[in-house]
Amino acid sequence: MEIRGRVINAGDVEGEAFVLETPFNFTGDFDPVDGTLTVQGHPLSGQKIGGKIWVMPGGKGAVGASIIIYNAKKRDNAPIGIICKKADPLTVECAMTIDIPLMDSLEKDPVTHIKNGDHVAILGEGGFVRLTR
Amino acid sequence: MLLTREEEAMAQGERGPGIQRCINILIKFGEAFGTEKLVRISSAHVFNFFPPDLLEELSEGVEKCETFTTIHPYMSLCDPAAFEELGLSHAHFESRQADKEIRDKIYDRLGFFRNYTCAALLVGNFVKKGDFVSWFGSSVQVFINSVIGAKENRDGAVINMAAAITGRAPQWGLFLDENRYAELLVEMGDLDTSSLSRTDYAAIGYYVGGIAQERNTAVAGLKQDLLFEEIRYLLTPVSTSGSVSLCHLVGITPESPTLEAAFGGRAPGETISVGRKEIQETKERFSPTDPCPVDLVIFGCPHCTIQEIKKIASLLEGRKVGTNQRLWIGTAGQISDFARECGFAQPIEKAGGVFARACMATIPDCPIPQDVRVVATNSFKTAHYVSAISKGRIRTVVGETEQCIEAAIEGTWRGDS
Repeated sequence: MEIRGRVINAGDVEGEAFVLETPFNFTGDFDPVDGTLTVQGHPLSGQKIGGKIWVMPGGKGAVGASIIIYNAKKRDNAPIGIICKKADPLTVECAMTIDIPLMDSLEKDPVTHIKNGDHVAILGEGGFVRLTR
Repeated sequence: MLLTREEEAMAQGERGPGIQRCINILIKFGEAFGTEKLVRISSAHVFNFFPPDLLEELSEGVEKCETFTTIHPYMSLCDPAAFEELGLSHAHFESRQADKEIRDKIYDRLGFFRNYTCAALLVGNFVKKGDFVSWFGSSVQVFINSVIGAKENRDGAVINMAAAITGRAPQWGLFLDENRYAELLVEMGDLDTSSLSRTDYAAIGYYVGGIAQERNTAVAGLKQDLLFEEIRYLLTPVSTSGSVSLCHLVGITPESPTLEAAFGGRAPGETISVGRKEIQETKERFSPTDPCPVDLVIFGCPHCTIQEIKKIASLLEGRKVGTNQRLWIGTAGQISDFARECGFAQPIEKAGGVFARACMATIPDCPIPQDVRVVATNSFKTAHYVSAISKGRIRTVVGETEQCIEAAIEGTWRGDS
């Protein structure tokens, strides 16, 4: 399946999807040192989310978020691409800081159409996301 | 986005790779939010503890930065002049030194003013109504928008550094007048607004921030002769419990002489009332019902003013902080020098207090002394973050400056009774 959307930071990347249903808190929802999800009560809590393509409604957090994501990338614990419903300032800043592909405003809601573990490709140059199961 | 010829050249790399990287971050950021152009900023204030390699990347080839730029406090209590007295190990301090040296060289090359304070308005970096600025630090962001009337977005650390280095920021959000009107109205309920204490103001701010979240807010019914310090107590917590960037204080905020002006003639999206009950319940979130031991007292979040230091000095005159207690005061080095000149620093230091050019809200980000289990402070921001960052290991208590001083001396929090 291919879903068209808006490209905010271009680039092509593919990998495993990590999907979060709620806005991702860059300064509280993951551990940049070991790359694991720390959202209490989430089924994937404790699992490594670094190195995946993050799919989420948007992001939030403190104004130091971009520093945290930069430090996470040095340990390969940052996302390799982000797909969100609607980009917010912190998510755009984080993606630009580590220069990863970022898309939003897809024709279909990515959070409900993409499942955890799906293989997804962000084809930023072409302006769409490709989903394979 | 419409760029000037100079900005095009910057984006093409004609002014070096650092400028190119920075302006392209700002351009893509701006385009994501439908921004039409970049605007020149008159002043910047940046986060201190940048990863050195990221700072190198953003500043590569930049010989001098034209924007007047100051620097945030030391993080992780790594103030070279104070870390030992704060009880931190040499090993911890040394582990951060190599990074500091690289950063300082870059800051000096760029011409940044190293004042190491979150209260840079008090130390040389002044902005005026209508200025576009990019400052790091949530509490000063809300102060600049709401009290000075300069225009500031809730920029993150990298957007903020890119703005300082290029002297530009995307014209979006609170840079645009139509986005500055209030949505939430806060009215004073059954309160005698002529006699609110500083903790009352801080509790109002903390309560309002939690409801407002990120919405522009207007507070009506406050006394019109609020002191600078009282305004800081009120505004700082609105960006702690929420992420409010503009809180109109009707009659005080330059663009809001009237309630109508604060809302641009429109009706408020929501109206709430703050009364004695709300203040009491908010205070109870950070106050023990029984006397409890206190290990550390913190002032200076945001960094103390000279008047706050004078008050602390007068309360400590001829007295001593308990042998098992600590008293830390976050402030700019220039302000503690000023306090020494005025004779305020000596009684505080004689009593056992320590001045540090460090961030006091984030102290669990470093190996603080293990005997610190309960922190008392006059700042909801410190109480909120110390508790959150330590994941509850450190208990935090909020009260008036006088109560905090008594706790530092006696080692016990007596509360209101």
